Amino acid sequence: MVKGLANKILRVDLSDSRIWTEEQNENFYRRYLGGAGILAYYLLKELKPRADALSPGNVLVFAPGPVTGTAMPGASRLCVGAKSPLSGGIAKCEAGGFFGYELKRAGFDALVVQGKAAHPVYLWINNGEVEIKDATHLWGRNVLETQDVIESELGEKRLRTATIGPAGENLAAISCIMTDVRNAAARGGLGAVMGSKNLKCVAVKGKTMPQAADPEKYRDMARWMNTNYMNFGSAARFHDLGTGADMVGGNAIGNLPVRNWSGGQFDDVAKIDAAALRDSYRISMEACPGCQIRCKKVVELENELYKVDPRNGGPEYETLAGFGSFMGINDLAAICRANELCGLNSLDTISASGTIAFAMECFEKGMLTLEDTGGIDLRFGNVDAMLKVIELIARREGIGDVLADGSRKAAERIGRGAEELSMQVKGVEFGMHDPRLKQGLGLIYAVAANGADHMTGAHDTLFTQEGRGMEGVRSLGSLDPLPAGDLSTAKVDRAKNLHLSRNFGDSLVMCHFTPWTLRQQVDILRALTGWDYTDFEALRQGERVATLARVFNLREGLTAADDQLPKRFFSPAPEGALKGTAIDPEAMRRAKRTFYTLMGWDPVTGIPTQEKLEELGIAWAAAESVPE
Amino acid sequence: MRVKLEMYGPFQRFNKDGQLRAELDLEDNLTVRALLMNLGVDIDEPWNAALNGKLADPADKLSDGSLLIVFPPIEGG
Repeated sequence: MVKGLANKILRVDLSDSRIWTEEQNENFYRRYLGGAGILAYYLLKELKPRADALSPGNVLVFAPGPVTGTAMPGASRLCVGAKSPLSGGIAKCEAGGFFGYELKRAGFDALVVQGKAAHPVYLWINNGEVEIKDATHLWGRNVLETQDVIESELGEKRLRTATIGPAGENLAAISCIMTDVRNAAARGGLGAVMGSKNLKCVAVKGKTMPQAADPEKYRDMARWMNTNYMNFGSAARFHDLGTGADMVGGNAIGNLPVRNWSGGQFDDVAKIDAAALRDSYRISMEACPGCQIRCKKVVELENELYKVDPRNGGPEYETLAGFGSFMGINDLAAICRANELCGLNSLDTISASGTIAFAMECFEKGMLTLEDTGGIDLRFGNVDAMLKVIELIARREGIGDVLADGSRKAAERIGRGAEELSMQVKGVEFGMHDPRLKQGLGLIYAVAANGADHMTGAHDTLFTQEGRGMEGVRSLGSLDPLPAGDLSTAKVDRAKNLHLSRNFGDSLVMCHFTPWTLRQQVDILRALTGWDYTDFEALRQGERVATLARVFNLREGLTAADDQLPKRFFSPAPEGALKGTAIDPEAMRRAKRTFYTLMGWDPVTGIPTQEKLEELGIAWAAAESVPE
Repeated sequence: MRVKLEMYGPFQRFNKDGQLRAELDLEDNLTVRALLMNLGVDIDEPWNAALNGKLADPADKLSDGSLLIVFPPIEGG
């Protein structure tokens, strides 16, 4: 028994309504920890090679981490993942709210779901007791309605849920899973995986507090963060405004994407940022359990066109940019409504906005016509068109059916050269940070197992000059500031080590916005478990997770050719702060080769070497890497 | 020389009269870093700056009519 953990993993097979628990030994937990580690392990072990992502054979994992369920600031999240219907590789994302916290307190380190129910169902996990319940009456309902009905029929208030809306039911590959109505396990199409299993919702309630091995030390660390977080510039900014606070600056240096990455400035940026939201529709800020930073915006509005219910939360930076500058839209009320529509329907706001912006550019260039769109004037800046298309995607109607599986699939269907406008890696649309500016992040966009993910890469502009910004990388052995556009070996090494520390953090599972150092995260884990865990072990753990995800992708048919940024980023930006700036294709090719080499992967194919797998204690994964 | 300065978030209080946007009369050839130090900014705190619509280096020199925007670096979201 490991202290702080539930020491139990909940397994559910929906095909035969089987529910069981399994126990793993201490070394399992020390190797994989939780979250992203447990996800990668179960995908490789339990998913039949090359199984279709929307078949009963896919394995859907909800994994909190060792620290989840405790009162430690930043320790409330969970990792959710499966084989992605969007990329064909791994989908891994982290979601906030109370669901992960509650699942751990219900007595489980993870929930692993396989099979497919004969009719719509939901899972009810009540402090260790688990039931599969009929959800036929919930099918077709949106996320908020589903929450209300389930709370009412179970007679429970403040249930914590992971739910899909119509987009997930309709198997849109850009759908997501919403936790507690307003937080998203967003990337890679996990809503469709849940929908393919006829699983509408997982509702959970738990009350068993995990016990730390050294409770006094653990409490002291929580108290320290709660006392000191405002001394960290980033945390103070999240506390005041949440994400999206510095979009004006981001626009001025070229980080903010404009019109499907076609470049340029967005003159109305101050109308759509977090400060504008504070001064208009924001009514409060919300927190995940145990967190004083309270970074989550809650908005409320009503105008002649629509109202936005505060129970659906508010837009994060990715959404403000995605449905704002990225589509040439400066209407903050409409962006809030787009955010709400995506949440209610369970659509990933990043891939949804990425795909709609792609369609807008196709329309402006004549690759899509009014006939294709069903009469919708799908030009950049058209608010009504944006809102209409979100609903069509969720219902898979008309042009919405073409777009529901992301821009890569849509481009295949549209033809006419639309592939050039599809801005994604491995089918997964980009986070709203320009890789022409942040080229180390560009490398991670290219090589990360789960596609163009902005959360597991180095944001280069943090580390361009001396000062506290360097704190995050000095302890990883990266001592000198480097220009944002640099792709030297030193930059690749920095990007790789941050990628590994992020994979460790996603296994712990710890929020990236709580300003813990790697050393502090290790100290938290030591106090929780009583292990003599070290920083070395943490980075090794992150490397293990990244490598397992790589092995999984290779097994599922992805190759080094999939580690490719779109052509647009290799051409000089035509205007704006990045005018004339492009990624040098030769420098990026060298950087990828260097990354593979530093990871112990073959420099050309990116296949992990047998020695590396053995070093990481995952030699078993080699046997899993060959399709049957 | 006259320079336009916008300072966001934790940096605003260091701008002239604590304003978000201000115009300052400065000696010629001042660098970005020197200006921030003169204003009393804790330059250990992570910051980014855009000088005339480009990501600025701390050693970049300001000139008459320059627009400098200072803000915390952006990640995540």
